[in-house]
Amino acid sequence: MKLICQTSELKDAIMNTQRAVAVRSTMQILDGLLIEANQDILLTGYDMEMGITCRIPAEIIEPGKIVITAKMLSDIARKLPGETVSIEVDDQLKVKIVSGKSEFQIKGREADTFPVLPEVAKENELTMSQATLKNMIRQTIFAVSTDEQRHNLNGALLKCAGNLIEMVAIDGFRLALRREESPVELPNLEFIIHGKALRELMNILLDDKAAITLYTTMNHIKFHFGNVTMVSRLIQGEFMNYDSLLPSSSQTQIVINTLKLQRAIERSMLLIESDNLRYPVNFKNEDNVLVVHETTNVGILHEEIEIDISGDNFDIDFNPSYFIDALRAVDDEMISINFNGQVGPCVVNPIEGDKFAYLIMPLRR
Amino acid sequence: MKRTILHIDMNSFYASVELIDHPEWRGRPLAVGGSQEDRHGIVLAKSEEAKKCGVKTGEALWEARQKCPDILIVPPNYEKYIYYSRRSREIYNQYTSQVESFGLDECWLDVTGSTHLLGDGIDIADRLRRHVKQDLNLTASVGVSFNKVFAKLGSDLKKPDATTVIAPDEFREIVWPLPVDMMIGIGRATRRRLQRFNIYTLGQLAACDPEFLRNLLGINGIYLWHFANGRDYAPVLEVGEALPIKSVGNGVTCRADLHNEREVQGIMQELAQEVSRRLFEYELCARGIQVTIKTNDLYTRQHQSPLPFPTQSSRRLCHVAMELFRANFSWYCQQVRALTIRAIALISARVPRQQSYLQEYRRHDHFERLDRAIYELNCRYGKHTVCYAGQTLNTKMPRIRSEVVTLPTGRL
Repeated sequence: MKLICQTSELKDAIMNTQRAVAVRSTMQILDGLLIEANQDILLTGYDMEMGITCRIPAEIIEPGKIVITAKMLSDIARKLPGETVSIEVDDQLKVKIVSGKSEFQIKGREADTFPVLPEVAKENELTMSQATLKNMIRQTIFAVSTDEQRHNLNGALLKCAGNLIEMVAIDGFRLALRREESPVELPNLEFIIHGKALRELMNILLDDKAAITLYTTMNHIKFHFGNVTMVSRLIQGEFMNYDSLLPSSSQTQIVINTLKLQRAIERSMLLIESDNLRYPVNFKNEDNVLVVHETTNVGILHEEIEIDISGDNFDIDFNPSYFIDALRAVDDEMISINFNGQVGPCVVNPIEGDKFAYLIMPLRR
Repeated sequence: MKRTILHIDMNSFYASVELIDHPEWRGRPLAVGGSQEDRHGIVLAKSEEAKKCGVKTGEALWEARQKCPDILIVPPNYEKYIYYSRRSREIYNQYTSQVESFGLDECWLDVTGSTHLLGDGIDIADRLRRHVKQDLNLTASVGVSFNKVFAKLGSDLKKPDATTVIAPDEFREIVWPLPVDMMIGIGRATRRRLQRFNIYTLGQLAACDPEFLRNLLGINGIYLWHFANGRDYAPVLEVGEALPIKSVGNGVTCRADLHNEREVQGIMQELAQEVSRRLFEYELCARGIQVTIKTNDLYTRQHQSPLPFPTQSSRRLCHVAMELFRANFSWYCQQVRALTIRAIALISARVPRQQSYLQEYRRHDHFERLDRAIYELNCRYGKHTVCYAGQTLNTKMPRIRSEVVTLPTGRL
């Protein structure tokens, strides 16, 4: 195998595919990246759950393939001096990487034992802009459950029907829902994507209108965008019926400035020294003022924020970090918060429309 | 500053207490042992006379009978032992406010602050022994040293009714020739490991390279190395200051082996009930559970799992315990002899509870409230006022169960 390509392109491709490389695995080959040179170069990282491939143009002098330890390869790629790089593999699996006046010789591994990524048929197809999907992930991913005993909640549900597309994450204590309208009619689809896959995807996706296409089968999902393809196993099983969780009415509704509330809660968390001690943040109203109050073993914070309120007075405790996660995901300047008493669910909504809903369960005293 | 620390170890505590109430048994070899019918037939404590025959704590009663045919075996009476334990601690409290109990019959005392009033360590130790003997008619061995580890070691050196001093300038001569397992923290397993490297005495342990011990025993190895070199700076707790409770467990050896899941469920429920009661009492919640299963061929296995929500409920504990049991136990060629449930990863019950909208949380919450109601009823109207119907059908629970004694926190 022998090829020459742009250093920066190779570096980016390695960064992207490395996200799918197994950190700890019983299969040693999985800590490597597969490089295949034919008309162009195809890089593959795969941990048996999730695989990422990236295609970059190159001048192929001699086709072939090789597996190189991902960490070693990415460390080298980051530090190469020249604009172009040549990679050459001899029949002893010795890899020569030359860039500028620098020449590495490292050992590669036989590529034949590297597992093949599953084929995903192009049956169910869905196309949207990368920025949209990226935002939807960012605004829900925090509520994905990390409790391994709740397997079906370890991912987010992607559901489309008519011209609506929804992403929902649930962990038993809160819920994050994002809704987007599509200009075109969408197929009826519903599947649960692994939280880890979504997180990695979010980091690779661009903030622009470039398109991303999703293909799904019963067991797998494939994302295709730019020169990158990602394949991930879907989570099997029923997702929770989340519609019934969102209350249709509320006892109290307030309208508040998002950033002011976020900053107040962030300040309250300065008084929490350790994660082991669960200190609630208290919200209550005094007429048209929301009082944010925090008392911990180190001190007290009292802060007031003006609000519009309708409905009953309230006095409720929350886990501050749950509230922060939701508020950080909101881009709107003002939000409406719907309280349902001391133990009922609280829902954060936009003032108009139903683009998002963040449900947070209170702490009981 | 040099501390003066005493460790008091009551001699043959259970047996001695029995002798107070039954002076007619004096002079005879005597052992306190569990009921053989309930299959708790081991020696819990023995008198000096039985000791002379070679009877050892922990061995089966039939072994004791073999060594000493005319041995008198009496059942334990924990209420009585607790009473005497309390009385003895009342005496210790007159000498210092730093009294930390270790089990029913052992205590550490830090008398550093009392020496200018009551004389040096030996004087106080001797006075204490006389005091206990006079008031309670019990004898004790006392170790006097500059830290807890050596004080405890000292109290084991001369028995019964004696004081042993291990001073800073002479501990090398006294402690270092002793076998390693004389020191607290070294049991059978650690001793064997050390022996593999020809470490037999505490002196050899003290001379080791601490890095080597770390590799062999983990961080514990470093502690032991410091201890053997006389560097133990752990304070003696104040009276009433208990160490934080790390787990709450309850276990039982059944009267007969359990043959099926239903019988296991019955016992689990009973055990969980007691664990739950104590969780309520200490205001703690379990975030995990551990189940220990001993089979009829005396193999012991332990399994644990986290709980989805922190709990105090016996129903929840029992439910998860049974799930663990089912997942890990096969009835093929084996039966269950003994079971233990232990609530682990405890947190204070006073921290606010995160509500959940999951269906299982609602059920969980119902059980939580049910068990609290049962607990409160039993508190007001006496134990066993209300219990689950299934518990009345339990046939393989030992008939006489001494009330649980929490060791070694000293919370009685």
